Amino acid sequence: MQKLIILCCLLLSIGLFTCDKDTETSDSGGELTLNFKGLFDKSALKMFNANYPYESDMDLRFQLFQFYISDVSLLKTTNPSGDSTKLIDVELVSFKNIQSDDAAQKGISFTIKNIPPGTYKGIKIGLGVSADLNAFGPSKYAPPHPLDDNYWSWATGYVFTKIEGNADLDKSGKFATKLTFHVGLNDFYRQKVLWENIEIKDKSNTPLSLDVDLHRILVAAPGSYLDFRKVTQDHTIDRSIARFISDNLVQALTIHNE
Amino acid sequence: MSKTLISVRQKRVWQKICLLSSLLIFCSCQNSQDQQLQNIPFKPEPIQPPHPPTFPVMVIPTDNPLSREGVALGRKLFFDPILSSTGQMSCSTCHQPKLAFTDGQALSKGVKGQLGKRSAMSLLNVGFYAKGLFWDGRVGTLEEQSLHPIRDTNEMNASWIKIAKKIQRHPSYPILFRKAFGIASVQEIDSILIGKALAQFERTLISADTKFDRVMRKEVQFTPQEKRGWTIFFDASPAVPTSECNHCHVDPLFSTLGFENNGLVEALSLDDYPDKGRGAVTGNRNDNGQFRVPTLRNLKYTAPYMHDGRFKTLEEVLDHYASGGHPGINVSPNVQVLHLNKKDRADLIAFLNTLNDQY
Repeated sequence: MQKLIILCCLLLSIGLFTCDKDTETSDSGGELTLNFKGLFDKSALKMFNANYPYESDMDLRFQLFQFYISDVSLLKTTNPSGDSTKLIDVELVSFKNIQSDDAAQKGISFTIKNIPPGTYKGIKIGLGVSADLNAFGPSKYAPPHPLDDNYWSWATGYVFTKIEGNADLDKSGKFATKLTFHVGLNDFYRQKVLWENIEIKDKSNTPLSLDVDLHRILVAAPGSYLDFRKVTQDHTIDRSIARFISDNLVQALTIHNE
Repeated sequence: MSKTLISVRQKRVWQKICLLSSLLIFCSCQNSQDQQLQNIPFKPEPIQPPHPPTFPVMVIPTDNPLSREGVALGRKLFFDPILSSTGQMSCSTCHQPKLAFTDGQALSKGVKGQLGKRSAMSLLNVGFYAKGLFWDGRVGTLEEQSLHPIRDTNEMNASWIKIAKKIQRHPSYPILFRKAFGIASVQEIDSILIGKALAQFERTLISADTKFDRVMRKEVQFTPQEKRGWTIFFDASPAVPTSECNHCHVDPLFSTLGFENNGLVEALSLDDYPDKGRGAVTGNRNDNGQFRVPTLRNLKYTAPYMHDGRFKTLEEVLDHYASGGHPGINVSPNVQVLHLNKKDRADLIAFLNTLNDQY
């Protein structure tokens, strides 16, 4: 009996030891949590439940704002094309369900594990779906997957960015003008490099907060904005609008400063 | 007096003997039936879920892989009125194959002839629906979905306990359940296994060989009219007017499978929708008046259209969308006023007709 108990203890300790080893292996390195918060100028961005003053006496309300990020990597040097550590293949940053102050405060987070510890010089974020991923449609992916939706078969590519909402053009409070802008095609894929020392420590989480300002996407500079009295929708048919939105998205994405 | 007492006692004893005997007979029958079941080999033949090119991957629960026996059982159950309280209505009453698995009614009728709340949806390609089922997405899997209409008082109005008992006593179903799921006792037949069988059958209902599919596979070509309709549908060229259809009706399923308010009902407030649709499920006011984007495949067979069957013809549907729909706080911004002339509309409908299966 005593031998049996000793044998059981031995087996159990071997089992525990093995499990421990596995956990250690799978959790090696550090974590980075990318947190995206939406803004409209200085205000928190919320879908449906907020009105935002816009250029030329217009007011806006949003139902959907989303964009893909892909080929996200940490840069080991100050050369954007230099040595890097890949973090994310592709994710969809969607503010569709950001409808309350609490949700806006919380933002949208992606946690990346098993990152080699070290001090990185910055982060590179692809805005849109990188060309290699954009070459295949949703049939490759089992839902739920960021690429199981938002696909244009006619353009054989993903819709990188969607902005949908309503405009009140006459201060009537009715928000009767519907707005829908969709940007796709490889020509409108962009990259953003954010230079910041990012310290990844072994077995610990490093948060990185990013702001994306929808106002900055719609307004490039004083007098240079999407005029919803002239245009209310485009789906990358008018390439100048697609270029305007995708170029501005690069500028709209910044590191959050407390 | 004592004679009466004896007779009462004797009666009680006899009653107990009879009851015990019945139980024994029942148990021995049950045991014998279970024994017979266990003698039937359980060797289900696995079958691969269909995956037409360009279609999304069908997600199948690991505890309900498709087998030839499971699909055959699901098919038998689907067409069998045994699943309704009156024994007169089957799943196929509202989901008729000849009507692309709809019933041709604006609102479906239940066992007592009472009208339901919504129109019967097509079940074709339902195995690919990964964002919830029904018009409001209230359940996540086909296994769970099938439990609802059977107990819904507006539909088949049955009690699952009674249905399971009827099937347990049926001369052939226990054998089929044994072959499909390896049951060792008829008592194992319950709503969960019935749901699994129905789900397996439903996952085989595929529409992927319409003219559109064959054009995509480069086997045939669109006519010039269909091609122009395709361009209008997908807003694929500045040379034609936009129809905005493709934002929600994304191919190959011709649905994002998401939920939208397409402006069918005039509602000044989000609380004014008579049928709250998705909002009743999520409890989020911003979802009120939203319903699943239905597939546009097989429109030839699935009239009347919309969740409440309000439009009898495709022309009526186009009239609605051309108007931009009723205003509303959460009406999809993609429901825009359209500028389609008679030819544009005819071309668009010609394209939509390429989405019909041939029966």
